[in-house]
Amino acid sequence: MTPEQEHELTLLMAASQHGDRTAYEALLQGLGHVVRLYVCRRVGATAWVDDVVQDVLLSLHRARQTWNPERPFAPWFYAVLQSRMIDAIRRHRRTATWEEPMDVVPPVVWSQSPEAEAIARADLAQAMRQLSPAQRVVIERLRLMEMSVSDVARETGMSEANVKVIAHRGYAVLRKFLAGLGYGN
Amino acid sequence: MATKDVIDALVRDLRPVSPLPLPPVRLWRWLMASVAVGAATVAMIGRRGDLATAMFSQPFQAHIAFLVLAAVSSAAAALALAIPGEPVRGWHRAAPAVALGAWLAWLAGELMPLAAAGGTTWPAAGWGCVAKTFAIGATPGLILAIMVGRGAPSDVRATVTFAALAAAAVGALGVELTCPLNGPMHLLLWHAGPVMVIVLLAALFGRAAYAAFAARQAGRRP
Repeated sequence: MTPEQEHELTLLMAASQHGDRTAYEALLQGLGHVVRLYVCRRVGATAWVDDVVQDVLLSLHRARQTWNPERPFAPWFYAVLQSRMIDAIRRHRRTATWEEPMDVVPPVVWSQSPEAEAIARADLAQAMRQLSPAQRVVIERLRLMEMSVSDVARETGMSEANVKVIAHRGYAVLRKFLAGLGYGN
Repeated sequence: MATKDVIDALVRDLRPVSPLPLPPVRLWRWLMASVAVGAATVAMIGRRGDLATAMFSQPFQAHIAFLVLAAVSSAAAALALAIPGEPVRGWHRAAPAVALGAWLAWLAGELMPLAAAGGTTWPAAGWGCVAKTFAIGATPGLILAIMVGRGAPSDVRATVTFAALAAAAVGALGVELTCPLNGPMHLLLWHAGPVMVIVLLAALFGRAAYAAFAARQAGRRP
């Protein structure tokens, strides 16, 4: 959200609190675009982007009295957005196959056909095999088991700095391999 | 349902709302209401007979100071957390725990010399103090629950726990003004004990209670 956008949205929000429906419609449409872009940048063009957009707009509607015009608009909006997005990610991860063992590819593509998803899974499994043992251990724990850097460091006996360096190198290996298969184009 | 349809429905549903005052203003209002209601409840129950002398004792002053700090800091934290995007610093969250911990440590410190000298006895049941904690803290707690409920906390568990601590601390403050017993064991069990139980229950069940409360409010809200 640029400063100009924030200024415009702030004015629309203030008008909406007074009951201006035209301003409110413009506000929701503008925020809908911001939410969609935000979610897509973080988790990709998933099938549940629309769910998140609608959840956020509903939450904003219910919480509109909590924004005080003496406070900036963006922190308030992004706090609601991040909270809803975390809820959505947790909800959709519960229905995805996160508990699969590492030799089955973790889900990276939510929205494609089952065939495309199977291909993506197989490609990622192959990519993971390119990693060194240390890189694989670290990335499995960070990304699949959603452990924090400090927890991974504690479990593996490495320093946190070392964990970060190994993860960074592992991600570079994955990116290069997957780019060679046409991902990210 | 398409997003456009959701937007159309929300626009049709739009009613004017008054923005909530900033958290420091809400905190001030809660404090005024709590002092008024707490004082009235203490007056109804009856002050301790030795209050005129007890208020000059260091232990009494320490208990009051810790409980005031716990009540104010936890209410401040709850009200700040109820507003999305409101800056909540680390000390916002730490201050209530520090105040509560300091009170418990002080009480334990009063107990240690007695225990070392073999002078402690198991205190008589103090259910009256438990009842007074709830009686004095209930209305401030309800007021704070309504104020927090009008917000939109993302960290619901922390918000509810801080609100519960604020109410319990107000209750314990009132008990200090009404209970003449000064024995450290009695204070630990029957003054501090209810506070700890209330905070624990809030931490365990507060999220579910808030969800039920929020669902009811959503049904009522324009």
